[in-house]
Amino acid sequence: MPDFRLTYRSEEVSEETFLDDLGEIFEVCKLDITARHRIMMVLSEVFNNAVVHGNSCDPTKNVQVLLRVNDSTISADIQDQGQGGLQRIRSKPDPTALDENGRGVDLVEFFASEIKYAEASDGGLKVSVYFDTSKEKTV
Amino acid sequence: MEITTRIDHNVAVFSLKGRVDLASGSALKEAIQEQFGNEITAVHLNLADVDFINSSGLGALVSIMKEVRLQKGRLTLSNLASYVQEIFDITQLAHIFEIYATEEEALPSYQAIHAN
Repeated sequence: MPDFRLTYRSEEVSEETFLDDLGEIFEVCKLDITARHRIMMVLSEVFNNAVVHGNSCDPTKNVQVLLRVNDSTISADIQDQGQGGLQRIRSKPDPTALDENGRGVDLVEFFASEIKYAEASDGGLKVSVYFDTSKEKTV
Repeated sequence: MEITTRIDHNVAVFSLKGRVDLASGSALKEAIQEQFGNEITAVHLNLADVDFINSSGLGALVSIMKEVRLQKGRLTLSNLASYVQEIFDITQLAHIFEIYATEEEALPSYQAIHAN
């Protein structure tokens, strides 16, 4: 499959568009429903982090996504134009606390086969996530 | 996300269909707060037709849980697909929420508590 290069404005509605786009792309992949949900969920976490925490929901700033799909792996680079780059990676919230935020990083780290973080020269953050779709991860 | 609401023995039952995420979580909160205005604080969420949830959706549910508790009410969930249940398990929210296998099991529990 070819690489997919997608660009989104940093606004709340972009998450829906991103998920719709992913749904269409993954329609042609032979993923079972659980694997598909895990991958879409992880990518949405990284995407939302870029929109909300990276670009502060500033619609003049973009989130760029490079998605690669092949027979045994799916990978995505998601980059924002924000500031503070690597400092944004949050620590795990207290699971006993009714914290409304902060679980995204946990989920990403649990389900992704590999994650890499890189700070762009302009201060933005690029998160690269990899999924080995040939393996099954059980909870 | 589509939200269908009905009242069953003073329990507001919300059947959700689609994605529970940043945008839809806000819409759900509003729908539930509307029921608080009708003096209904017993809330049940049926997630049978939820095909996607992320941490933003979980955050919305946590926010709803807090609101229900402030109203001295009760919140239950049911019919979670396996890939939704695992998200609750991994984030340990399965310990925070009352989760039933089916709506048919959840709703009588409100009457039992009320009777006691």
